[in-house]
Amino acid sequence: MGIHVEGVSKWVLRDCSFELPSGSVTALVGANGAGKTTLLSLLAGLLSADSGQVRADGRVAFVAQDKPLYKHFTATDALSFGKHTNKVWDQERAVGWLSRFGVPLKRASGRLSGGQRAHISFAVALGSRPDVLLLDEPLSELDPLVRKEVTAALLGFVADEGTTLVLSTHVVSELSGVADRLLLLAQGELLVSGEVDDLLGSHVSYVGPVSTAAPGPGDVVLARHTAAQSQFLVRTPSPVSVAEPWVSRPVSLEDLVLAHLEVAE
Amino acid sequence: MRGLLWLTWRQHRWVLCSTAVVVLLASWLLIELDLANTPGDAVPLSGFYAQLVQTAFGGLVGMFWGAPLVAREFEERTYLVAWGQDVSPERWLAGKVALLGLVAVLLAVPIGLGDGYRGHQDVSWDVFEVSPLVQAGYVLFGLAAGVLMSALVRHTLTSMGLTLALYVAVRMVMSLGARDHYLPTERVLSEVGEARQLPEGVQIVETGYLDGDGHVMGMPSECTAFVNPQNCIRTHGGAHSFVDFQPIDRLPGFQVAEFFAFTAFAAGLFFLAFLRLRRGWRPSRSHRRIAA
Repeated sequence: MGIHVEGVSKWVLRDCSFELPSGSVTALVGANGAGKTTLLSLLAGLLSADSGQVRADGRVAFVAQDKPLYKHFTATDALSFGKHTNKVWDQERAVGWLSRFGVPLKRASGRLSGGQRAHISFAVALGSRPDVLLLDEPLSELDPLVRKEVTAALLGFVADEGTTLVLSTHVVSELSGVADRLLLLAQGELLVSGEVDDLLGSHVSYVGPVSTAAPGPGDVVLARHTAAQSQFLVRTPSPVSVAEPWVSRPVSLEDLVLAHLEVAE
Repeated sequence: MRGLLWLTWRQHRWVLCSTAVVVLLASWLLIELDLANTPGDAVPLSGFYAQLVQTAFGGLVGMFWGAPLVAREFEERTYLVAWGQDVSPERWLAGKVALLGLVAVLLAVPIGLGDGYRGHQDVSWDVFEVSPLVQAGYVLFGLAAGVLMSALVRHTLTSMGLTLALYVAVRMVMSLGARDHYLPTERVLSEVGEARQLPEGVQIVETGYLDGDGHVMGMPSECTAFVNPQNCIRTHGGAHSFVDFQPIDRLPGFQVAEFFAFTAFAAGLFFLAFLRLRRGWRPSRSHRRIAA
């Protein structure tokens, strides 16, 4: 087991429990203030829980949302720092990341762009070859054009190493094709937790004439009504086909997340 | 540990080097003035300069090396980086304190060499703080005060202010109150009104009058109006006048005692700072490693 969390409460977080197998890639989503950073800090060991248990197996690396770095350190210094403060260090991997994304090695990080600083933070985290990698809003500082490339590169690294990756985001459109597990937090409560494939298989959207009740089985997550039609997004263990004029449609990960977030508002 | 020394040097090299330059210039001037002057009755300006340097050094190191040490990591959020690797916060602090403490003690040596006016005749209670050992104790204490305040308040300016306050308070209490009593004083008695014979160079701690039974008595209020109150004191039962003092040959021993006192304070404060870091950020990542 990569990460094991049981009955954890801290600040906004209330009684969260979940397990993440090692080597899994998990997206942690939720509105601002939902408790994503608190949860990641607990996993990183920077905070201790008021109650409950947090366990992360092996060495953990955490990259905070604001990508803190020593302003006077150059990228080369930052890598020397990583080498000097870690039992395991992969210089080639760290340097490889920096050169791949064109980060200048000899300029103080205080004089670099936010994106370049983010790359230094990633390089230090990846160079330490962690068993668990926690990234808080990893893409927030990056140019939309390189986000896909960075995501693909990160996924490539963790897949090679069997690293357990947890990344938080509030940009839902970045999720598809990235995570194989989803944790959805709203106001400190864990609303959805599970494998993405299972979640997609257990949610369905019914569209049909204006109605107050859903035409099929399942718990209604979100109902939307317009003058001409009603739409119900329901959670059900096994989606069934519905009678005409209703249509059932599979939901996308983005629809699913947005529906849960919207209801939680 | 080598990695931490590298980190400490990389992070603090400018402040270390600039302090070293200032200290070497200041102590060169001290020693120059010391050799150029001959001791007289009055303390020349250079003597005050020496006192200023020797009073300030430990406090300044505490304020500028110690007080920002942890606080700045919090202000710039780099504690997430510093303590997010395989090094625990306690080991990180140990590495920093080891290097900074060593350099501070080395710089204390020239600071404690010259008093600015007495030349080679340095043996005097007036220049108690002119001693590399005493200065080393002060600077360790200043550094420890800074590190502890830094770990407690996590805000650089506040931490600097508190460091200065703590340093000044402890130095004052020790030099005004405690230092004269590291060993019991010696006492010389004389008849009231007679000239007394004191050994040379002593530090006078207390003077007063004894009654016929040998008990210390206060100055009778009726006598305070007299220019020469001796007769009045005698009629009110005063038998002897006394002087309590520390002889000059105790000076080196007292300086050693001062060093140990301040080093012990420093050890206590460092210990509290370590406890603070340990309690706040446990478990670090290696502590949470699960045995297979």
